[in-house]
Amino acid sequence: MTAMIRRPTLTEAWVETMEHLVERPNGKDHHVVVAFAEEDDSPVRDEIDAVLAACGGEGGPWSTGTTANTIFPAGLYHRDLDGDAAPRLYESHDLAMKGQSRLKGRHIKNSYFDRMVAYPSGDGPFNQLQFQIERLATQIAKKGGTLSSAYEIGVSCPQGDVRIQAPGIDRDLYSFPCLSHVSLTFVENAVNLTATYRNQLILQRGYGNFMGLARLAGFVANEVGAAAGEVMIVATHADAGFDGMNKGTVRGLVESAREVVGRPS
Amino acid sequence: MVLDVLARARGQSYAELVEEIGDADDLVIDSKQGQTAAIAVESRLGREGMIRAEDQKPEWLSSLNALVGMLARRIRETEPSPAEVAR
Repeated sequence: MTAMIRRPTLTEAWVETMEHLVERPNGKDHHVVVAFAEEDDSPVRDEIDAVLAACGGEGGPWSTGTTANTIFPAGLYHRDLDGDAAPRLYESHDLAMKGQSRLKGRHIKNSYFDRMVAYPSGDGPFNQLQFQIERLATQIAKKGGTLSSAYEIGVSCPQGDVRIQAPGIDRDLYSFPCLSHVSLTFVENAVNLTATYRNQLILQRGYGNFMGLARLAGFVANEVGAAAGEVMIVATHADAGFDGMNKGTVRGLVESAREVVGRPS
Repeated sequence: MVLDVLARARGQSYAELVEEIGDADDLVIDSKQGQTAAIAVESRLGREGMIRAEDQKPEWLSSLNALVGMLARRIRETEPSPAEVAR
């Protein structure tokens, strides 16, 4: 059934999503929509990482930071480089991917960020993200210079899409990519981001995915000189992530996380 | 060489990185920065494939000392033999 969860912070949104899912049959549901305004620095992240590490080892779940890096490698983006920040990010990412391609496993070899900046098009790798950034920046500049009506300036202006899924290449029914699509929408001088997942494991990947998406929105916003707006995740199928986990541990984590973030007023 | 490529991955100048390290015994680094620096060293040396899958675990990429240790080992292992040099 459709569930809409909208909270101010990433952590609150994650907690509420988990609370919804653990009460569903097998911890699964369809059409789960989650939105939040900002990434927060919460001890809940450490608790999640501790649970993931405890069931990990070689081939176990990734940490939240590793998952976030697959969407946006924040350590490679240095906004104080100004005009050189994005080119340096792409350069560093290209080097990192040469190493990444030597790892085993489709989920590990590939990265969502790589699909955004080197999409396998018929004409070779295509940097969709930079294309959208330049298009957005151009339209923002035009708004200030060419539009005469305050009403028109206030209108939502969809800026296009960033595609992840590559038909013909992504033939595996269970593997990469779970994130299919990213849309950017410019409203009231803020870049809002919507991500569509065909499936999302909220315990194993959700928190890291939310982090990566928030950082991606922040990157685009910074590059076009706008504010970062809301992040929305549409999981056409969502899974709390009970498989391979102790249900009591998962429920305990969710209860503990709720204690940390408090009850909504 | 490692400090040079690491500084670039961190968006710093060589001097800024050296200053940040200062008298510290080690420097914690982002593993993506470590991975980028490792492949950049391989590229500068012209030794394609020097960095293996097992070298890209966070334990080798998350601190300067670990990164330098891993790179030093791989550089030694991939050093051309005298016969190769002679050819």
